[in-house]
Amino acid sequence: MSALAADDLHVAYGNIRALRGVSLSVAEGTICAVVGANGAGKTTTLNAICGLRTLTQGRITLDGRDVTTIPPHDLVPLGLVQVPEGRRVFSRLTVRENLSMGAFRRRSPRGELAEDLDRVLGLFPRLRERMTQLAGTLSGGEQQMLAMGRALMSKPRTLLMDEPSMGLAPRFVDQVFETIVAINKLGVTILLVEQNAYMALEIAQMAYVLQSGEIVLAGPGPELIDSEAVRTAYLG
Amino acid sequence: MPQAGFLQDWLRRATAVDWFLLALRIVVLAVVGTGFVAGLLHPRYGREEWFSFLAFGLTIGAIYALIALGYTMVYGILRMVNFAHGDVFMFGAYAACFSLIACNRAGILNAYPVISFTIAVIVCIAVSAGIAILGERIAYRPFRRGRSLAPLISTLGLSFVLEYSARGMFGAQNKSFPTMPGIDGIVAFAGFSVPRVQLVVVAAAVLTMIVLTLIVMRTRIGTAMRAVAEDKDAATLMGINVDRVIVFTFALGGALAGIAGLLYGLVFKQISFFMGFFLGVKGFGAAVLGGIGNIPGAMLGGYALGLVESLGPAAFLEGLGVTAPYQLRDAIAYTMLVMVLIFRPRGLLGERLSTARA
Ligand SMILES: Nc1ncnc2c1ncn2[C@@H]1O[C@H](COP(=O)(O)OP(=O)(O)OP(=O)(O)O)[C@@H](O)[C@H]1O
Ligand SMILES: [Mg+2]
Repeated sequence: MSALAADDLHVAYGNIRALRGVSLSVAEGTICAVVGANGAGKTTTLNAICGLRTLTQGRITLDGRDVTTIPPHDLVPLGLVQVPEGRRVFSRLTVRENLSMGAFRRRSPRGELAEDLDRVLGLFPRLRERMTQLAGTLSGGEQQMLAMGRALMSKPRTLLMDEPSMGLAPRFVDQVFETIVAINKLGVTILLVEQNAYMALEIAQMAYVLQSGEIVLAGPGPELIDSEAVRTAYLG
Repeated sequence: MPQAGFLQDWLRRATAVDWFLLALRIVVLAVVGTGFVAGLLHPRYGREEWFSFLAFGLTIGAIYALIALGYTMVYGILRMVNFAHGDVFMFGAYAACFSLIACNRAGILNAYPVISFTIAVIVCIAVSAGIAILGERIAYRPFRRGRSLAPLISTLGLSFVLEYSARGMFGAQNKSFPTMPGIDGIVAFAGFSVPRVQLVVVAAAVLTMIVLTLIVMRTRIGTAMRAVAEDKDAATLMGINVDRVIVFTFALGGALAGIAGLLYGLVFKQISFFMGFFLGVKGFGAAVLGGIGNIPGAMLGGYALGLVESLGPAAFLEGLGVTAPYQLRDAIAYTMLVMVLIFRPRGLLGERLSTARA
């Protein structure tokens, strides 16, 4: 069974038809990548899945359950969370407070939350020394780690990531991709949107190429790297 | 020398408006300065009088601050002004008034003043928070999508509805507020004396603001409030129900306004259906003065407005030979407000708009 499936999604901004029938499916425990040029509709796809964009048509299934009409904030307790484009950490909250906002909907006992916090900080040791610092004063790479850590604090089963490597120094980019693989190894299903197509395709069991709001190509990531279409369009 | 460069730059770029504002600054500073010096040369007030001006300024300032907090919290989250907030305050005052009257009828007001006061606090918080929540439902939520000015009109309309229903229910004349036992009289210490009620009001307001700060800075819902104020979509993605946080914010602001209504009644002993307008404008002014959207700013702005209003007439109007300077109290308050906005548009503690962007 697929952890997450989107079926025939249509989204419009006024007259602009941003998505015209996007369908994709993410198998449980895998990494799935969506690549495409600027304005192809990648962010819109993720936001539509999270309920932030109104669908004119389409259906979203999470763990076999139809979640199309569930309000966005109620998807988090169901195990779906997004690391949004541009990180969007709460800059006037401390690192600790940002992480606690990730766990906002969890009713677990304190001890369990503390353990999870410790586990997340194990993935991002740089955050540990900065717990009382305002998130707005972190570097871009640190903010990306915080955004990922914040999402992980909700204990997701499916994690959506929108261009986590955007604007980062090469050293950080490698680190981000390593972390994505590490999170996946912990059993979290991942839907990854990237401009950095080569690296995303390398780690993706399944990948989709999005163009002007439509899926034009699908297949295992490494195979797409070799495909002529992807080569000419995105890898140069 | 960089200074000279700055001056040359300024001279080259200054427009007529810049020159006008510069002249305005000089004139205002000269008038205030002259009045201040003249007042010092012919002192009319002794230490005790100054002290009582100060105490009154802090008292009324505390009330302004409590009202200002409601404006600033709602603005911080929604970037909109709730013009019905003054009337939430008014209803709080009536709620407190009627609950104290009821306590008096039941014969417990004099026997158990602390219990009666607690009842009044609970009732005025409940009524004001309730009205604030209702206001959010009918005058804000329908207009939240889209950046129209509709909420401006709808909250103004709500303000009239509240005022005239209060007038219909409670009458157009002033209503006298019950006297609480134990808070009348004067407290004297170290050669100064203050009405006891002012001490009670200042203490209650400070306590309320400490509680508010703890809620906003230390609790889960308070943290969520700050997160929502900064980025609603990101907060939604974390599972926060933004609508609920907004309702909570209105309720919190309403509760503070309710307490302000109770304290106002204790100090001035008279309330009316129309007072929400005047106090609302002052509270909004205080919020803008402190930097709207900024919680410590609203507190500071409230006290600053109260102090200027109460010390200003004696400090420089009297020295200028103005007769009956206390009639000009409001004129001073609003003049200062306009001045601060000209010299420092973002208010005392406000951030630059570019960084304060939600
Ligand atoms: N809020 C909006 N209002 C109007 N049009 C929008 C809005 N958001 C996106 N669009 C349009 O929808 C299309 C898809 O945008 P989207 O942000 O999903 O692209 P993307 O693939 O994420 O691009 P990028 O790689 O630049 O992030 C674009 O043509 C964009 O201009
Ligand atoms: Mg995008």
